[in-house]
Formats: sequence, structure tokens, C-alpha cells
Amino acid sequence: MNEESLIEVEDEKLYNTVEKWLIRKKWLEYAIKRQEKNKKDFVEFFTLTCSQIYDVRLFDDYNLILSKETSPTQKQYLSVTFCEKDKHRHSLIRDKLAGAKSHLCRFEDLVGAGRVGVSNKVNGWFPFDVLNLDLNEAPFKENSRIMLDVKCAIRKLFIIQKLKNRSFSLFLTTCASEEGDDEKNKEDLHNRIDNNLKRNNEFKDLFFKKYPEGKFDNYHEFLLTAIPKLIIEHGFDEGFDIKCEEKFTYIGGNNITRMVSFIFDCEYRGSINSLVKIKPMRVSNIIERNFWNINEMLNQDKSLLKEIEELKEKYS
Amino acid sequence: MEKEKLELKLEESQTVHMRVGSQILEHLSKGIYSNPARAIKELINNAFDANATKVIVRAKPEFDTFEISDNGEGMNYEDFNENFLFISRSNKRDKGNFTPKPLERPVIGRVGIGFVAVSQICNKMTVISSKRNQNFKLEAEIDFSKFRKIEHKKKDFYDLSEIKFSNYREEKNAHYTKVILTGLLNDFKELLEDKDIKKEEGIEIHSFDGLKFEQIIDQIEKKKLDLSKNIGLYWQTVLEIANTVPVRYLDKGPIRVSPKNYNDFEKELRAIDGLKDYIKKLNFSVDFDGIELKKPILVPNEEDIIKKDDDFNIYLFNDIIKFEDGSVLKFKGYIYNQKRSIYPSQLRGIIIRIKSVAIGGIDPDFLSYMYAEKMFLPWTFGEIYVEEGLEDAMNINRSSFTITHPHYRKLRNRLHKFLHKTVFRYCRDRYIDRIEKVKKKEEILRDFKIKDYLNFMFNRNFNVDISEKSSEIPIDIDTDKGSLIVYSNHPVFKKISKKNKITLQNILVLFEASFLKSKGNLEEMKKYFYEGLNKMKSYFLGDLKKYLNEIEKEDE
Repeated sequence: MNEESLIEVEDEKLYNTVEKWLIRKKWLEYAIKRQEKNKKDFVEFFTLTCSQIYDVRLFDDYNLILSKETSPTQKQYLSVTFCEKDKHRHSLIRDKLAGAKSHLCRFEDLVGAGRVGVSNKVNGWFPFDVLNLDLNEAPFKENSRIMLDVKCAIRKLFIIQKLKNRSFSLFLTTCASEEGDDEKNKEDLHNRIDNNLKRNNEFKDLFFKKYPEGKFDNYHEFLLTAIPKLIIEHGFDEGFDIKCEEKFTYIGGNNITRMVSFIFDCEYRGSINSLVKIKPMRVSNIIERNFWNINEMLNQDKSLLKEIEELKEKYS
Repeated sequence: MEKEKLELKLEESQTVHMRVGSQILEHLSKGIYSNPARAIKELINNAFDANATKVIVRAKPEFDTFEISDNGEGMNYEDFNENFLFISRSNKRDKGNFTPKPLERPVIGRVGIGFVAVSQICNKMTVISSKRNQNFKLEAEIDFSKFRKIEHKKKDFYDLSEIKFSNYREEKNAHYTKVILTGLLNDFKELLEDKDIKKEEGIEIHSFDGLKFEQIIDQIEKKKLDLSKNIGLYWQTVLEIANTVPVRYLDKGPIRVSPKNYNDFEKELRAIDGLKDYIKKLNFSVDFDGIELKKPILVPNEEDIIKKDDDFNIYLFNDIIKFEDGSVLKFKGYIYNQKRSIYPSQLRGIIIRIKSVAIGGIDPDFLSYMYAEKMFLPWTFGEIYVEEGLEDAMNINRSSFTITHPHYRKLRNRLHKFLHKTVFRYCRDRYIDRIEKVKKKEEILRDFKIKDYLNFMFNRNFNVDISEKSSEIPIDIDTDKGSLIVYSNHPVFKKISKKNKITLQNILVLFEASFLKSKGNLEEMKKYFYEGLNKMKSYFLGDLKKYLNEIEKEDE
């Protein structure tokens, strides 16, 4: 609609930043790879998009998704699915995404890990080739139930994708808020890392090489290791070979919130036995692989900044 | 009964009741609003009245929620108090006949009726709206499920639903209304998903997914689709809404005239362009699941143009009628008439538009056409834009008229007289011409056949002449000329009936028998033929056979 609502204004601040656009450029790169790997004319794309649907528009420009022009100003997006629990935001997104499948719920509910049940029809929307879980909140909040939902949702996602033997790429973005996350949940994540320190020597060596004092420098670096660890464990349990391809951190659009973002390559292998040897290697890779500090990258490389600003400008 | 009131309390919910007049409830219980297109149409009309320039409707592909968003002026709690807490027949916009500048549109509707109408298709409705220059938005959750349990006793009003109402912070410049229908009733959902139709075998159901609106119209035209049979309720709804709400015409519609014939209809086409411009200036568009709706009116179809080349007439139908009570009925429009049935068949009929919104759909019966020449109705299409009057004749469902209302009666009579005296006058002449031509053609054909038959039967021994003179017998023998005469005006040739057919057959049999018996001698043949004819007068078919047997016996 013509005059922007508060939701659109806030989304603009949060999602139309150079940092976000740099990540989107990376998403595009990996989505193209997934399209090639899955040998698809277009990808089945699930997204927790914002009201300006930047990711969909970007992917559409690169013919990654199936869309049809129905008037000079309107398109139908036929291989896009999204969900959103807030009615107003859902409606704003749906206004722009004609033809897309959508449901008024959280992602956790959509995969059957939430408190609201969804129909079999909605379950039938799976599997997807690319999923963009762009969360703008702390994932492991104080409410233990929500924590349970998020962890359960990730597990459920792998189970559903496994049912259709579908390999996929997962883009996960979330807040790194030590205050926002629940102590018990943080402890659980720590324990998962400790287990690896005890059992995986390669991981242990790499960890102490990086963190000689035996602890993370800050909370976001903790999450940059703990979250991929969680994803890899859930994925391997269902027969997926998970590679954490990219890790990013940046300060969000409001200049307060620290964000972490990941790109996972989830290749379905079927047999867990075949993955046993690979798993420690993939876990070690998490600590081995450096993360990108996007704010620093853009400050240091002015030509990159210019390139991303141009990209941002194109979709604004 | 004291009316409940909403207040401006930010982020604090209030619960009030939506009340509805018993008269509206009575209509609801009769299922008058049950057509989903009409319920959705009402919400779109509300957006038009709120000066919206764009409405977005979303239903596909899942039909779990139905959303109607507009960029109109929006509402606040005061508007809700005024218009939506008590909905009655008298709820009318009283801020004048036109919306504020810059659009200054004629106001269409009765406020709130749309909200009541959608209670027929869903259990819950959420309205999110923000009014220009106010930094808050309202969110009203309306639950209709309770309403379905209302017992019908004699009351002035009923509680239609409970409304949970909240105000939230919003940008000052934001102005919009979003109506979100959830808990769609299964019957309605299944209809939209075409579940009922799919069960029936042998019916080919067309879908227009992924097509532009112009392409949809092309397909309907080329495939001669019957919209009530060949497409599901979803697409019927889309097309009905496109036809009824004040969206633009197709660029090449409503009447397609080839450039070489433009001059013949210049005056009429200019007037129709005037209507198109008027609608265009209303600056109103509807995006229905990604398709920009336009009026699905386009005559004649391409096939007719190729075959018949603009064989149609256009008549302007304008008038201003003053009534004794001081009221005025003012309308303008056009009637299109071609010389055969219009395809697609849905474009046969008349549309009445009050303040640019169609009341009901296309009426194929032309307001119950009263003359005995209904065969011309399928050749005819028309649109009447009522600029003043008739509004009070509308029934509460806004899809039909009270037939006793003086404005309606006057319009109906004018239309019927116009059709009878002007439009169909040429149809009748053409019809008579056509009948004559057909008759002539049949006669020629029949003459030819008889001639051919006689030549075949009698081995081309005779010349056969066709005569238009009157004669008692259909076939005779001219012994002077040595030829056979066929009297084409004889009743057996003029009128095809069972009796005449038998008579003709018998005469031909008699003729053949006479020929055989005379061995080709014309004078003998004439004698036998006349004898036979005299006997035939008193014989029926069975007796004729008896007579022929007698001839055979005599020969033996």
C-alpha cells in the first residue's frame, strides 16, 4: 500500500541494510549451487521473509524461483512458501507474494513442533530445496517451551526433508542476545560443545588453538559454534551430511542487536553408518572455519561496500 | 438499549458486541448473501467508498485465509462506533454523495453490510485499519460463530458477534484497511477448491492459473466456455467481481469495431468511450491473487467478426425521468445487438450499474422482458449506468431490486419499450427476411429434389417444368409439351407436415405406377394418373395400396 505502516518502516530499518544485502548476495550464490545440485529448473523456496520480500525479489531476478508475470506490475510466485504468525505482517507479505503458499503460524508450528497444529495439507508443502529461516529474535528465549520448539523444529525439519529424500540449503539468521537466551538452554548448548572437547581430539586442538583460555571471547562467537553443532547433530541423526559453509556476524540495522547468520549445505546420504566417519570432521570444521564480521568487511573494503550499496539501491 | 462504545486505549483490548437489525438477519437466514462473490464484492465496495485506489485480494492457493487489503482512508475507533457496532438497513453514508477530494467518487454503499455478508462464509474476521493522520491502528477480531446459534424471535436487533478490539501504535501517514477472513466455512472452501465439480465425470474444468486477465478473456472466447459449467467457483467469483466492481474495461472492450466500420458507429463509440473514461478516472484497481481485474466484457467475439464482419448495431440508451414526488431517475448506457446469439453466453443480458457498481450480475432476461420476442434476447447485451435515483429500489442484498419501486418500474418499462420499438424492430425485419430466405432456399431445394427424383425415376424421359401457378394437384402431365409440371406452390410443397409428406409420397407412387402401366405413353399415363387421383381422394394410405394391387391384377 502507498503509505508505509510501522511494520514496513521497521522492516526497512532492519532488513534493508548493507550487512543484510551482503548476506543475501551469499544466499544467492548458495541457492544457485543448490539449484544445480538438485538439478531443478527452479527451487522450491521456503522463507521467513520481511514485508519487502527482498530475498524473493533477488532470487526471482536470477530465475531461481518459478514466477509468472500477470500484469505489468504484478507477478505470481509459484514456488515460494512462507509463514508468519502476525496477521498484519502476514497480510503485508501476502499482498506482495501473490501465488505463494502461506500459513498464519510460526515456523515451529509449520513443521509440527509448535503448539498450534497444522493440517496435513500444509505438511504436504514440504520438502524444499532452499530454506531461509531469517529470525529476528533470540532463538533460545527464557521461555523453555520456545527453546524446546526451536530445537524440535530443527529436528522435525530434517525428518520431513528426509521423508522425501530431499537435500537442501539452509540459511539461518538469528539474534545473539546473551540476555535474551535462557540460562538452561545456554547450558545445554555448552554441554554439547564440552562433549566434543572430551571426545573429539581434533576439535579440542582446534578449539584451544583458537581460544587458548578455553572459553569463547564473546557470546556471538559461542553461538557461531554452538548453533552449527546443534544443526549438524540433528541432521546427522536423520542421514544428512551437513556442512556449515559460511558463518557471519554483524550488528543489526538498529545498531544495537548483534546477529549471527549461517549457510548450511544439507546433503541427504540416507545411511547414518556412512556418516559416522564424516561427522567429527564436519564438527571440527565448525571451529576451523572463520566467521565473517560483516561490519568490519564493509569498513575495510570500500569497493565491496560500493558494490553492496548498489545492490541495495536496486531493490529499495 | 444503550449502545456500547469503543475508546482509544492503546494496546489494551476492549470487548463489545456487533449488533445487527432484524431485517438484515432475516435476509441472512434466507441465504441471500450466500454467494461468496457478493460478500467479497461488498468489502471491495467499502474500499472504493474509502477512496482506495488499489485493493488486493488474496485467497489462492490454499484458501485457508481470505484477505482484502486497501489503501483507502482507513477507520478508527470512532468510525467503528458509528458504523459497525449496530448495522441496520438505514446505515448509509451520510457525508454527501461523493467521497472527499481529490477523487470525489460517487459513494456506493451502505456501511457495514459487507461485514455482515462475510459472516456467511467464515467464522472469524479480523479488521486491521489505520486512518490517515492518526498515529494508531485498530485491530478488531470479530467472531461470527456465535451468531449461527441465534434463535429467531421477534426482536429489533440481534448480537451478531463479539468484537475484541485493540488500538496499537502506527505511523502517522499510514492509511489502510485489511480484512482477514479466517475459519472459512468448509462448504465455501470446498466450492473454491472445485471439489464438487471434480467429482462429476465428463465435465472439463478450465483453470486460468498464471494467465493475464486479457489472456483469460481470450481463452473464454476461443473455447466458447460456459462459465457456469466449465470453470469452478473460484474463477466464477473472480469474473463476477471483475464485472461488478468499478474497475476499468479491457483496452479493446467493451465493443470491438473494425477500423473500417468505425465511422458507422462513431457517435455511439464516443459515448461508450465516455463511460470508459469515467471509470478510468475513478482510479480504482483490484489485484485478485496477482491478476489485475478488468471488466470482462468484449463483443462481438473474434469468430463473429471473421464470419460476419461487424454485423451488429449499437444504440445509446439515455434518459432523465422526473417523478411526482420530486425524485429523479437519470441514466445513460448502451445496447449492443448482433444478428445471432452472443458468445460467450454469459454476455447475453443487461447490467444495471448504480454509481458504477453492478447490481447483481448480467440479467439475461432483461428485467423480465415482457414482449413475445424473447428469441432476440440472446443476441443482445447492454449496460445502464444509473447516475441518479433507483438506489432506494435496491434490496438489502444490493444484488436485486424491489420490483414495485416506481424507479425500477419506470426503468424496466423504458428499457422494454426501447428494445421492442427500436432495437428489436430491426431484428424483426431481419428475422422475417431471414425466414423468407430460408423458405425460398427450402423451396428451391425441394423443387430441385422433385425434378431430380422424377428424372431419376423415369430415366430422364421427360422434361420437368417448375410452375408457380396454383393447381389442385402437385404434379401434372402436359401432353402438348411432352413434359411433367411441378406446382411448387401446392400446399404439399409449401408446408412440411407429416400429412403432406405422405400425400406427396403417394402421388409419386401413383405417378410411377401410371408410368409403368402406360409404358411411357403420356396420354395413357395422364389417364391412369387422373383415375388414380380421383380414387385417392377417398382412400387413405392403406386403400391406395389396395388400389395399386388392383392395377397390378388388371395387368396380369
